[in-house]
Amino acid sequence: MLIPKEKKREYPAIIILHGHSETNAFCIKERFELTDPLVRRGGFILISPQFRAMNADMEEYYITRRLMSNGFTLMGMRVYEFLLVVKYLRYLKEIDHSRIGLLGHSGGSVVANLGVRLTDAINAEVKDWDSNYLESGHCEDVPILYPYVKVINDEKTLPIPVLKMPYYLKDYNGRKKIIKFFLKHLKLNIK
Amino acid sequence: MRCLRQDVHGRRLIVKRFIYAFFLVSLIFSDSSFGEDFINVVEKKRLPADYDKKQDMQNRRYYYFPKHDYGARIIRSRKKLEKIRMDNIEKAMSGTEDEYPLSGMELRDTILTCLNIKFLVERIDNTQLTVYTIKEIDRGSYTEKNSYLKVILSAYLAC
Repeated sequence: MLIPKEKKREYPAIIILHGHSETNAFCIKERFELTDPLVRRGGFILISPQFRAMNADMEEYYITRRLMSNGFTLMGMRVYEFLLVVKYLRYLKEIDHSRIGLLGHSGGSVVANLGVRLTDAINAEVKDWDSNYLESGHCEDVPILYPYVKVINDEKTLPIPVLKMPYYLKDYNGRKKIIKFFLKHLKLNIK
Repeated sequence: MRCLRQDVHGRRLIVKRFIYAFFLVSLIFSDSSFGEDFINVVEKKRLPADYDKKQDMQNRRYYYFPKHDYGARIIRSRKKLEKIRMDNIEKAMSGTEDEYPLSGMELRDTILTCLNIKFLVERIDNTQLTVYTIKEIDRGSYTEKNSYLKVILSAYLAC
């Protein structure tokens, strides 16, 4: 959790969900480079859970298969952890509950797509990946969700603004677009 | 002179082998009927008359499993998993073509049921969140070894 130094009564918050084979810190600081524009200058609180068994390796494959054989899913666990983060944010008095955003990358984007349907706490979403839930061998393997892929991935069916980004975010303009989107929809005036 | 002859002979042999290998590979991967016949002979089986190669490759995608994963027990669970997957795909394929027949709440319920986390979400909604900070744990009575981990775990399960 990254908190701005500047004291305020309430802060807007963004939940960041990292992708496979990376850490939450890498996703915030290096992939999207959000520390300076959003925390220092923007005054946002950033919170990001570190998902377990998210390396797209044999461990994840075995866990996915074992859970699925017993009627559960690894994606279910990730969504549960995301909902715990939402619960934690709701518990904090310093968070402005009407200004919570969600940013997901890759596997985190899939968790975001599902999570945003389960809670009304999110006010803006940025994603870069839609899964068909047939990705065999890791957490995105939830074939029972396949019939609902269209509706889950269609951002038009959500009551909140959604920004769909290209998967490989390489340029500065892409990051700028994300920051502008959050500033616009979470109604914050940057200095 | 003898060494030179051997060297030239060796090079010719390598070139010949390369051409032979290239011919074999191109034969296997070519789309010509001759190539397919050749594959059939190698695999000692005939493909059905209505064999659709594209469709087959598409289906095989869902059967992907790592190569080194073998053994009777693993194969059994793999078959079970494949069955679950194929059942769901079939169900999806035979589903209605209606655009988005579910409302927001119905979709929420469906996702929770599919992920099998309904009971967990009910728990989230109905329980008070207990948050421990590291400072509190240090100051408090949690002095025994691994107490931090225990507190974190109990807090996690309580959620």
